[in-house]
Amino acid sequence: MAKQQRAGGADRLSALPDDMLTHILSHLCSDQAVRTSALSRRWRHVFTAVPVVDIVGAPQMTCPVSINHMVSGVLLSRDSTAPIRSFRVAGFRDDRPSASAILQWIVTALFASAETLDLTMGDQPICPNASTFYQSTAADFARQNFCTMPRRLFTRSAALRHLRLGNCELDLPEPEREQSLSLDTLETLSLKRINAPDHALQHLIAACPRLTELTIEECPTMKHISVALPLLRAFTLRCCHDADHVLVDAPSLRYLGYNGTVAGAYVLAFSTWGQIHTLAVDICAAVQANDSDKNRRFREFVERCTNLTTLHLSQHDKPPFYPYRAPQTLSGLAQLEFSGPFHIAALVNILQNTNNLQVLTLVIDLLDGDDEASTAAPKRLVASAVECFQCSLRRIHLVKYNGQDVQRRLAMFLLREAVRTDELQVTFGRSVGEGSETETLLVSEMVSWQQNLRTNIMFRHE
Amino acid sequence: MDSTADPKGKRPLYQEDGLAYARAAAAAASATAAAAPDEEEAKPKPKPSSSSEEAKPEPEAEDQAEMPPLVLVAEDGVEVSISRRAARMSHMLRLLMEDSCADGPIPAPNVHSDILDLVVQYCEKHGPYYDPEASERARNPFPPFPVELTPTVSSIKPVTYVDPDPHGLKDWDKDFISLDNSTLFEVILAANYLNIEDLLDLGTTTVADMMRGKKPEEIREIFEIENDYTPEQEAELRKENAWAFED
Repeated sequence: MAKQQRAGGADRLSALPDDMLTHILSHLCSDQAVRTSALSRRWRHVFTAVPVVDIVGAPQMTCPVSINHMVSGVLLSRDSTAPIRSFRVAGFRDDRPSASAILQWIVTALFASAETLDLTMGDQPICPNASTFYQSTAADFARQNFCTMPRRLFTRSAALRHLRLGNCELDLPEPEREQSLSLDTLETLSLKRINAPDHALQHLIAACPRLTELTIEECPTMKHISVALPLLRAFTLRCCHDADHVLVDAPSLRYLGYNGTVAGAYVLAFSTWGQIHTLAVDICAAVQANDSDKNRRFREFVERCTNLTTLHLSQHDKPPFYPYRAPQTLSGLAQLEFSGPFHIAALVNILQNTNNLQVLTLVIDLLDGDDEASTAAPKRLVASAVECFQCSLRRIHLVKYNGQDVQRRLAMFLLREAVRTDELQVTFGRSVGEGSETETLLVSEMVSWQQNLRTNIMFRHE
Repeated sequence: MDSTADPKGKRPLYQEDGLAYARAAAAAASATAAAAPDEEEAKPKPKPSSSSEEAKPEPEAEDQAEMPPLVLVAEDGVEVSISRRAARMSHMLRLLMEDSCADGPIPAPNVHSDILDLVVQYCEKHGPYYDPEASERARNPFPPFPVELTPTVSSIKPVTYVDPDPHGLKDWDKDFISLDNSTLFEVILAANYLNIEDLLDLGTTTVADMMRGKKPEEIREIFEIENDYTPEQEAELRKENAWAFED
């Protein structure tokens, strides 16, 4: 920057060149970007070149504008020769755009060589972590009034790389017709609450040969899917409780995310489990701690992935469910994350098998310390010889630390035992105010427990 | 909020190591100047395709340390050295290295040495974990039209996307980018000049975060922007895009 500008002139932001400013505005919602035209004369036309259309519902406005009005406002106000890189309209729950409006938006976006398209109409959850709720709302699902994604989206999108559709129906061309599905360039596909029959979903997924990431979420109509995707690297299935069989032939699969019940996990079938190196499991239904059958099945599910390097386990409801006998195949694990009401003893049990663990993340707001199983745990804690503490564990991250007794016990245990850790990061939960007395107390307490003075303890707020 | 007596507080350990590594590389290079291996080594090693998600235990410093670091010359004449591994993060420097034009001092005429130090610090921190092929693919695989698009951040990730951040880079970035406004803008400009996508994204998202959710009056106050509209012009402007100004 020239020395003159550093000396005087306080408004450095406006002094940046246009392409920097459009880059900055591309991270904001479109209505916010349009409002920057009122900042000063220099900003009058900056927003018109922003290659992003991002309209997320419920903007901070006193009188809500209809979705049609907003989207056409954005599209008309921008420079029509400027390309659109990303087009997103999401979150308008009650406001359904007309089919012709949707067609118009899609045509405009695709013509402007959009690479990312996200149309998620509406936002009603189907499975808020309880299967009974799911059944009733899934039945209502088919009766809702959906928007339909036009055929044009699937036949002429030559540049589209990322597509997310939510709460809609699909108008797909029949396989035999001339203009077939053409989504050759698509790399990421995310389908949420799509009201389309099995064969339509399968047809759509099979028409994306270059797909690298696939997410299917809360689709009650999906029962049986079988696809072969040679380049697929990440697959996530969330809360599709009615699915019977999901077979994915994906030799390059590296990442698997599953959100659902334990029984539902067996719906998944892959050609190669050994290639998967990141597994993220989130169990949304409560499982009794002494339900050994479910525990065993869960353990077997995790054991199928023989080469894991990263594992995230999460559960929302009590009672805690993490099995006491750890899965066997975790010796290659480098990163582990636990979330939910787990026992310290279960954690230690799993750590005994993970000899090469390097990073441990624990989300401890629901840490369970009340029932008798955990009071028996301290004996186990002292007697155990957790090898990774001595050798490989480098970073520990405690999230949502509130200062509860059981959390402090866990922190003390980790600081005393994990002597080779380079870094312990503690993220305080909301209840610990920044700069409050509780915080100072907790901080000094943790520092006093520190066994290895070379461990760097860092504190942060959410 | 700092737990240790370290005055730098939240700065993690790696920061010192990064610069020390660069200086050590410079010292080693001057000793082994004649034995510099082939330029091929400077190119990123072909990692497995999913390397950005795997936890790399230790950065491979050995072969890269043998190559002499690059020397950037700031506008005030101060020379700042940057290791080859870190320099890969800059598209401009990467091209220079590939064309073997990076042996002499490289001018950075618009960048002050303090800013250049910051930029080099960022690159040294992120350099070992950077995979240029992955980010190239993410940004520009088969451009169907010959259009120059400014890179943007948005890409749709699966909802339960596990963000693999085993090296704590996100938190380091958050600390790094908490700068005063004028420094921040100069870092953005430097990142643009050297074509460092990741730093440019980091800087611009930080500025966007400062602007988000605020009315024009509030934004003007934060960034000291002078409102040079006449009331009539402003009224006309608001009428033009009335849907956006409904408040």
